Amino acid sequence: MSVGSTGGEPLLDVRGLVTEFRDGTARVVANAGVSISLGRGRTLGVVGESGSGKSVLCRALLRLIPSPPGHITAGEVRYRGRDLLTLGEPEMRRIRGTEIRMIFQNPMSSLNPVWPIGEQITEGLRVHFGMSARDARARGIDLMTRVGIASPEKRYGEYPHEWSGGMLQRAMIAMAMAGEPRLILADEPTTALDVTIQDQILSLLVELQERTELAMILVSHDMAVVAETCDEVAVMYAGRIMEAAPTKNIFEQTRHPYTAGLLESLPTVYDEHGRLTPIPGQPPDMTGLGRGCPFADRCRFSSPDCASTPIALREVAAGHFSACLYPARLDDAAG
Amino acid sequence: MIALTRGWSLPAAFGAEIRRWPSSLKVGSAIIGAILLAGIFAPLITPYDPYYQDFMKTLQPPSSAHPFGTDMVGRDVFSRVLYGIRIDMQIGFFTTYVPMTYGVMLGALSGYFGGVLDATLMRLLDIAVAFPFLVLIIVIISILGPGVPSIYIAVFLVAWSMYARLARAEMLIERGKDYVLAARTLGYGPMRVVFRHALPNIINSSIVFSMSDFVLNILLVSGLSFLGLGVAPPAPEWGAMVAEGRDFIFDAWWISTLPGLAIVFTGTGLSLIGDGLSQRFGQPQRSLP
Amino acid sequence: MIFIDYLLRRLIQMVPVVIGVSLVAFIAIHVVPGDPIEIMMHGRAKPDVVAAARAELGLDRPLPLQYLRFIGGALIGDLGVSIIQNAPVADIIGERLGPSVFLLTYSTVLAVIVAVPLSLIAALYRGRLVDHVIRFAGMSGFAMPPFWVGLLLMLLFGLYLNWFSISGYGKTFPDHLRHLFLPSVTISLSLAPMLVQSLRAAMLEVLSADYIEVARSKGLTPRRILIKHVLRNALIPVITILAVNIGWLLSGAVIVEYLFAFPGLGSLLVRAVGFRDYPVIQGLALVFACLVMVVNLLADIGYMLVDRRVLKE
Repeated sequence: MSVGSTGGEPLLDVRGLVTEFRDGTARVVANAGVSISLGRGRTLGVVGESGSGKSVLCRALLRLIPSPPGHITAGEVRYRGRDLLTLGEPEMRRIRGTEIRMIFQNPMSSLNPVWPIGEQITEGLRVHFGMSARDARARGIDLMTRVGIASPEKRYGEYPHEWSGGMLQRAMIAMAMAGEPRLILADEPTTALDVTIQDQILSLLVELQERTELAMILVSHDMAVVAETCDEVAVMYAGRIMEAAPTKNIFEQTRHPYTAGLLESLPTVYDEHGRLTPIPGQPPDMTGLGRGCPFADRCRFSSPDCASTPIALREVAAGHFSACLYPARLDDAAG
Repeated sequence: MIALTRGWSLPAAFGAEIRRWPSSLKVGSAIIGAILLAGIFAPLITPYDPYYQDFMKTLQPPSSAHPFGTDMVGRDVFSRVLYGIRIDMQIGFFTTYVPMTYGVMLGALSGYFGGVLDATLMRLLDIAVAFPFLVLIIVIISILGPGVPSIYIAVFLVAWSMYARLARAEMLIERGKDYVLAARTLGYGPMRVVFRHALPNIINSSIVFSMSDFVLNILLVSGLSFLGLGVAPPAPEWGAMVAEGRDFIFDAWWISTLPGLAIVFTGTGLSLIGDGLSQRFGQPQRSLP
Repeated sequence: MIFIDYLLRRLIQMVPVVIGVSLVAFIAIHVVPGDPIEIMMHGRAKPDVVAAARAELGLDRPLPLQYLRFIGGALIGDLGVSIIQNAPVADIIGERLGPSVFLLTYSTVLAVIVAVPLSLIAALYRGRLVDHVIRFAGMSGFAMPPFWVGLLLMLLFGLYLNWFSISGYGKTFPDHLRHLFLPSVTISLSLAPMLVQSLRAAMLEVLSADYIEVARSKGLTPRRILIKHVLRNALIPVITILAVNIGWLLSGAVIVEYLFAFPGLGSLLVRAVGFRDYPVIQGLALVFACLVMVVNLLADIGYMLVDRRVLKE
């Protein structure tokens, strides 16, 4: 099922994506039939714990999965009408360089330490657009200004070890914006940063988006981050999307026990006493998943048939999808 | 802890352990095991005395009577190579593992306590590293005179430095770990903490390195003997044998070539063990610290 | 300016080590049981002749003074006089320094040409057959004694194929390249396995770095990523590994020079040891140590050019 489409043709339409990793005899299905869709200028948040498959999803979309252990074994990734999975590698490289860009989690290690930052920002311009060094530099300085880096002329030739994490992430964003992309995949862009800087970076991303009708998939384990910036949210667990809906609905009319568990475990200012309510149990062992709902053993609303019945996303309200077999039980419990 | 890797001497109870070994470890152990057996049982394998000179049979090519041929004074090369196992393996063993013991101890203590001891040690290590190993050994031997005791003394003086570095580097990481802090809080004296608690965990990289060191030491001994500064003829040391055969290389290639091959074979077996051990211990092959 | 700063700092750090090494060389030689003069004169000279010789060589002075004399002399290029050849040690060493440096450089270049591509291939195709073959070849190569390899090459090229000469140095540059080919190949074959092992590990680290994934996400071609990003960063460990293995390179050179009767420092050392020519041995020890220092300094220069981060240290 797809989610998050506005009127008209979605920019990105992923259907049934399956990504597997095989190491000898062990097999992990990191994405087990993921379907999402995204319209122009819209933001989709993908939330989940570590190991839920959200980072793999980003890389799978760009076909950056390292291929001896990993393979995309099924599904379609339709971007502007074409299935990226069928494209030849040169064309895929062009798309990576110009139309779909990715922002990574750790800015301190994401830039090449022996290259000047400015040249890294503009490398794509020189390679994909054939710009001369001078033009590229001018453009690079312009980009740096746009992302809020002060004194860009001076800083153009500096090296990554001279900058702070926040500034490096701005540089990464500048690098991503260089080719005038239509879609940005942001994999935990603020996780490695201080809280105050997080805010700045998120605002920057939102601002850039508004100005250029840029679509964005924002991956995070932090629901607060997603709540602030996204139009729609998809919650992932064990390689599957468990719930997907417009942001407000996910928070206010939760339709999946896992999402409810996530929300409950967030500390809020309103909690009277110090205890947090975590989700009981452990994240699943990805090599030994059964046929049914992977969350069944931790879910307080589960029935015996939850563990054996295969799950799929179903529309349980307008534009609101859930993979839970018994979403109504949440209402009964909430009271 | 670690089981010593001598395939033929482990009791059947360790059969399961061996099955889990990486293939390089199995092959290497098999090779070294075979070599050691050949060396120990040399008198049973070959009827010839490695020192016996038969002037009727000099410079004979390999044949069924003499699988490796005979040398310039009629000695059977095969027996000499076999008996040479005893010499080279023995010297190799002691020159590797004796410095390892005090090298690791020094490095562990230095890394644990830090301070002046550590600073001094690092300076010493810098100096030790500044010298090419062979050159240093040769210089020491120039003072002590050639021969096996000199080799031992020279190596014992110098070879501990690498182990000290490895052990120190590991200790610096290890001493911040929880179990070390726990042992200290329990009031265990520092010596006990270092030797009974931390040491077993930091020794792995040194053990892996000792295999390469073993090979290097065999190369060292044979090299020194080749130069005339090590084991003296007529002892059947492999390097000395290569030197003896040098003048005959064009006419009787087997005198020099086959002992050298023995070195290569032994060294490869040891390297395989080292490679297998590093896989077994789960450590990536590290470049020198 | 930062560059000069950095280099000066490294040079100053080396001074205590050079002093330490010279001390060790000096003390070691002078702890000799047995009197060099007696040895030199084969115990046959009369006591007053021995005393005169000793006075002339300054061996009757207290040790610290002798050490200072040694150091002072070394600084102005006077390393004493060879007992055997009756010529200044500095001259003897000087005329052999050039050939040895040539040999060492040649060997290093050959070793790098072999080791870098092999380690890169092994890293790129990690776990596959090629990787295993390369690693196995490395292990066997590691176990091959340089004197044996050299002999075999001599056999091959001396007897069967007459392409290269098996001794000597030659007069002109192309001549050098021809004469030195076999010895250099021998040394590089013993050095290459060590390089390949370390370089492979280093390449693997670089290949798995975040910024390489980022480079791929920018849509760069594998070739560009390899050349501009991977190799550029791999240069740093290459320099380190070369510098670290200099000791092994020099050791191999000693044996190979002796084997090929090459007029270099290594064969000089072996001869001097045979004749107990202690001034020469002492001078050589110092020169070898200085060679190692120079190589380390060259490595520092290399780092400086490749990686700006070092300037901060």
